[in-house]
Amino acid sequence: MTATESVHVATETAARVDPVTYEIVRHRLWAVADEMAMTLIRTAGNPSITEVHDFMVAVFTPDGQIALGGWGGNRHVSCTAQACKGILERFPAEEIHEDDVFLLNDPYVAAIHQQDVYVIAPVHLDGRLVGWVGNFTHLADIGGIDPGTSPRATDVRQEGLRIPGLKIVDRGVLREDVWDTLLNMTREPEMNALQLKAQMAANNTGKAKLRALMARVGVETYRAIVARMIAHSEATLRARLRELPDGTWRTREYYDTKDRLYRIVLAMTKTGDRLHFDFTGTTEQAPSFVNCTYWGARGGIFVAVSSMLGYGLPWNQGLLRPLSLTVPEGTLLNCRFPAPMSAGTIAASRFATVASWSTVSTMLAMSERFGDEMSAIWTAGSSGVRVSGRNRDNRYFVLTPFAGAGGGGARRFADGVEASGTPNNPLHSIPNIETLERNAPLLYLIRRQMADSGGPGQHRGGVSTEIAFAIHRAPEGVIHCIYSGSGREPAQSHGLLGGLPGCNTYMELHADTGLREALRDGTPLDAESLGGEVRGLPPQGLFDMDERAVLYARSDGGGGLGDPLLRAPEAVLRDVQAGLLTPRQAEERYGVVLDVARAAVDGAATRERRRELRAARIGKRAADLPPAGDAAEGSVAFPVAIDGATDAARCAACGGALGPLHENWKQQAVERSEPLAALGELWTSTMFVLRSYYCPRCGVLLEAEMTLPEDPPVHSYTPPGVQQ
Amino acid sequence: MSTTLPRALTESSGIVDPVTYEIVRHRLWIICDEMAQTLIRTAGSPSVTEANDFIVALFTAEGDIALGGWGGNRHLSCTAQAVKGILARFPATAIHEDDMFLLNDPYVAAIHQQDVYVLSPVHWQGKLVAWTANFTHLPDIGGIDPGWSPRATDVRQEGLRIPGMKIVARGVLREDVWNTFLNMTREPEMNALQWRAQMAANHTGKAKLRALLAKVGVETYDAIVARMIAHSEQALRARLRQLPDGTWRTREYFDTQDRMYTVALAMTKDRDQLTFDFAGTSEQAGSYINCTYWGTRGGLFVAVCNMLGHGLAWNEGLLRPLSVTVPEGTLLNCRFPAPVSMGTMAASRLATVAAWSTVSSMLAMSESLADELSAQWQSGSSGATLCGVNRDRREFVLQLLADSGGAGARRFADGVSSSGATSNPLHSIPNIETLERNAPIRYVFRRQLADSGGPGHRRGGVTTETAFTIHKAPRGVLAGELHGSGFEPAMSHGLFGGLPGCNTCCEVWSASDAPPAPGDGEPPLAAAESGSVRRLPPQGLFELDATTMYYCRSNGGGGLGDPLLRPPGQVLADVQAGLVSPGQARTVYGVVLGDGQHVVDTAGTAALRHALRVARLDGAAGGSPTTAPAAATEVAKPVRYDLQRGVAACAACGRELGPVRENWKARAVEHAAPLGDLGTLMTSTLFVLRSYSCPGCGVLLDAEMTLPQDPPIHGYSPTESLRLAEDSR
Repeated sequence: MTATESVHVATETAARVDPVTYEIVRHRLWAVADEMAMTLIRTAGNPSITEVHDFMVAVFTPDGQIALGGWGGNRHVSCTAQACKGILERFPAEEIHEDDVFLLNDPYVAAIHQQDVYVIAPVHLDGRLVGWVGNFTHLADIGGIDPGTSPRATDVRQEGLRIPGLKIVDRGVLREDVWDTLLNMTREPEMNALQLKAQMAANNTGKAKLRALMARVGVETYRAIVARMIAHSEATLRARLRELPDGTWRTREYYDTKDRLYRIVLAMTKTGDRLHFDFTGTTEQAPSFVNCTYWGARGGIFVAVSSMLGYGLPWNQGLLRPLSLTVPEGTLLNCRFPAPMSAGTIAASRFATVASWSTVSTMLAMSERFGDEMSAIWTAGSSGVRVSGRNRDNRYFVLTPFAGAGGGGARRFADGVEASGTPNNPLHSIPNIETLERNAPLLYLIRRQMADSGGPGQHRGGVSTEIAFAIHRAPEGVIHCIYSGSGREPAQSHGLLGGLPGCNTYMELHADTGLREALRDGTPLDAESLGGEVRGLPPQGLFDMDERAVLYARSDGGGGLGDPLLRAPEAVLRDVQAGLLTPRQAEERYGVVLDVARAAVDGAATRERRRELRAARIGKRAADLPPAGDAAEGSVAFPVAIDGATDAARCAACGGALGPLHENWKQQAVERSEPLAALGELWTSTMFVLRSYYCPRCGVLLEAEMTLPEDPPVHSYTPPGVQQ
Repeated sequence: MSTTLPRALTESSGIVDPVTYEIVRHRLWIICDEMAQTLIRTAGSPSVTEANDFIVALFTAEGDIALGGWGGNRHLSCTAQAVKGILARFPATAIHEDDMFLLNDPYVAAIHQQDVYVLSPVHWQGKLVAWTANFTHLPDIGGIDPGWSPRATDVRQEGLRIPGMKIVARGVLREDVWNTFLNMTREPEMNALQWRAQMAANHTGKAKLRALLAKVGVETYDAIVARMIAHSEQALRARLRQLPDGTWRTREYFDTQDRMYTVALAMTKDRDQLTFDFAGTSEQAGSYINCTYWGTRGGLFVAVCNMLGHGLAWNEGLLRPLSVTVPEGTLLNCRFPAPVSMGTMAASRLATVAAWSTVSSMLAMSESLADELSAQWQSGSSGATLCGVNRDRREFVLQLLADSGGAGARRFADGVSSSGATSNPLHSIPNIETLERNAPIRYVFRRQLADSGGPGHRRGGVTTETAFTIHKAPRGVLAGELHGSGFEPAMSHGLFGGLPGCNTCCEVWSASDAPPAPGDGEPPLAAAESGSVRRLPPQGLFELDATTMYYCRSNGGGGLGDPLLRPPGQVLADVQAGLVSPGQARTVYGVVLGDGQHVVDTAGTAALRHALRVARLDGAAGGSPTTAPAAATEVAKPVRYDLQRGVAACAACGRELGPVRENWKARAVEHAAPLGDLGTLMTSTLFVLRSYSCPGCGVLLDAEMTLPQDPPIHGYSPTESLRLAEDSR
């Protein structure tokens, strides 16, 4: 029986299940997943789990379909399902026993990157395989060329442990020799052992609870209910898709390494109740660790689909069924063996998320009903550091201090969340400073939100955080740092619908500072008194920190939504008062004239200034502008109205015509480019421009592309049947 | 080192009749041979089938060496340690019939990780009675670089490291574990074949051993093995007792691109005990050249087996009279997590070289054992790994196994030419055709090299030089990794006045204009003239493309005794055979050839040699030789120690060189010259040859290959003289 057939049969059985039992079991499954997560959080020890929640727990059907994705990094849901299938393929049925446990972390088989190890356990009842439970945590180190992640790798075989599917527990007995051998190759054997044991414990919890549930309701009923849950998610997703317009949405995202820029090109086509993602045009694979395999790309888009189209539904196999995916082999998003990919999660896979986030959001923005689900891009770059060396107890350590948290993308109904972190893990959190300082010989100097870092827009992107730390009581007087970030050049958290990008990520190392003297003398610390020599750091690499060094890093802010000149002036005032915006940006980007003395907006002056700014955008005199909608605190409107009846695109603000639908309306708009850095000093890019498209009639900002100057305009939307 | 006997007591062997003893003893040899044949015929990789880079051995149930068979004997003590590692890690109840174990962790037992030990318990009637084991060198084990890891600074960058793991459980392969491990390597198919061959070799050993047990019974078998071990131990102790007591010292060098490492060894013989003390050795390196204690013990075991264990079964008995002190944190006993993937060719080999020097010097003092000694055999390395895409468009990693330097000169004969190192008596270089079949390369030449052997009364063996280009490589490029040494120090030094063999040298020759077209026309021999030559540092990565040729030469063997004492007829024969150039014959050997270099000019030679001896003493007190050296001067004993009188003297002329408790070098005529003066094959820029000549007759008594700032080596101090010195104080 194929998977689909089995679901159909089960669906029929499910029809006979009474609704009360269905609801009880469905909720019980959620509770099982929750208990698995709690087991992990309470036993795994590493702050990456206990505080950051960098894990995922899920329940699967016997044939490895997602029954329920629980807490955590949802892009791993489809990968863990693939891992179950990998185990089923590698091990004949008679070798999968009750109380076996399997490990898998090979991205060429199922995973995104090797540090995230899937621990998978079959669930048996009366000797029959009735399901799987699985989870991952991010191990501090898996051996290989560099501690934690491998910026110097050019080949996956330099990146340490890579397990295509291995039985680590055989019928309840740990294969201790294999266990010891694997741990022996890593730099954090004790922490890894604790985490992997915690992962086993989480599975044991899930297994015990599932078995109890099945003992109560019977395996057949259980399976029928799971099948119905899957069918329900699928049917609901398809219904939502049918309500949305057909067509193709396009985007172009950028990823920067020290040596070159990579483009992630996506054309998403919606036809009826199906959604196809086509990454043709994406840059060829990288010689360094920033790639991902097909599984990472698929997991990446699942984040956008589950978060924005799958809201309120169980995240299960049903959400994957309406999707199809084309990722050309040999590209950044579907690399060929033996390309390295130990930064795949925050590099290529994340950009599958960012690209699909752009296209899904734009699609949703065209729907009144679903528009509130969309948002501009959430913090897409990374400024994460991994530190290693000798700890205060003189033992070796590897730790990811989670530098900070970028901002959320602006939403149609509200601003972006400040210091939100990325959307790939709804549970993502940053750990307590004290926890980090306890786990590594570090001293944090700052961690705080940063004015102007959110992308300007009618709804503003969430601001990001900046951090600085020094080493503290490190026995060797030095620690080693590895970082695998991006977003130094492209401002990756771009805006949508005329919103502007959040700031760039940035990292710099202050060498030979006066930190020690300041600490000794109790002098307050600030950038000026630190002194020393400042070195900006490229997006990925390695460096050492000695006792006089200070590392400074900031994340990127969320993207904005809508023309900033349409932002309610009172909201701008609130931002200035809350320290989220400087008066200068309020005036320059938002066109708001503040009466500082009275802490109020000068309404008339603001209206006048905004009108002048709009006129200047299109080279007109203010007096010649038609009346465009006044700024208000309501929803952000889709700026280019699609008028199917007349086959025309129009400016939503003034009704001005923008040409026939099958052409790119941008040809009719007024185009202006300015260096990205013109947005302010937090935009450190030297190569990128902000290419703005304004309504030629009213001067409203319709779209702002964060782009390389040589790249053509993106044709964001084409109705069905139109060839680009 | 363990002094406990195996569980069958030595005395019990008394019950075995001599005929059974001899039959079983020989049967064990045959079992090892059959294991080796199984490996050779199934392992596929030329490193096994042609270079014989493996070992096979039998062990007792407790992991003592029962019999070391063919192959790299430094791995014998390590494999024994590996068996002990398995016994420590796995409870007796978890070691079953037809289990098989892997171990390659140098911090547990191994020398470097590429040499993976496959270990099989042998059960008889449900009881563990023995182990069979072997290693082969895997082409790649994952990690930072293919094959070996020159860029590693941490052992966790060097790929697979297995502290002891069961790979076969009761006859069933753990396929998932197997696949996981192969999956992390760059040559999973060749590795799988080699591992399977290793398992097959163990199967052969196990089956034959069980057949033997069925015939003679386990009691008799145990008794015979115990007696074999006891016999080797007793014979070694008897040999040691024949030798004078005392302390022998040496200093060896190892070069990396960044710095020079020193290995210092003081070997003390006290009655029938031999103590090796490596105090004074350089601290551990930041790169892969280190070894752990096991590598050092294995390394010195090579010198002990070969020179003191001749004619004996190589087993636990040879280890018992030894004790080893290696300071922790040094090159020869590195601390975790220092990288070690070049341990075999670097630190462990240096332990062999140092022990070879001291054991040879000790043997020189015994008439009956002196023919066992020799100067240094090829001690440096020109080992390289090639990798890339092969003609069949598949990825490959291949060990080039180019090493075939010369052997050290012996008391009774010259060194063997193109011998390879001493660490494996079976070592061989593969056929050119085999290498060309296994990698997209074409050899331009592989040939012996004149003047490369260390000059001496007995000459060191000459080395080989090889060159190849890439050939039909689909991508037009290959990546190389060099794990060499001896580019600065001429590591195969001489003894007793013999001179060192040439330096190791590896180069990439580039054609400047037209790239050579492999397969069409002449080999690109002209590259050096029309293009450029880049000399490679001893360790690191390099690249070859269609315009380049790879050239390398290993070092020649060390010489023995003063070259001016070499019979002129032998020098003539060498010139005629192309092993020595007429120039070297004249300048180093002092031999004048006449008649188109077909005859020795006897008178001219005598005059030249006298002049050269005069020159040695030039400027020294006395000015010129007062006596001529005796015609039949001993090769290996230029300084005679009269322990009764407590005086050292020149063996050639009888000139006294002071009390034995002092270093006689203080009374010899010392002269230092750059090593490069020995000829163009000496590429060293830092090292000197520091010669000590007899002030009486001008005979060369010792020639140290040394850094100029390092003090003279006090080669030997008799225990007796030390005691006297103590008393007189």
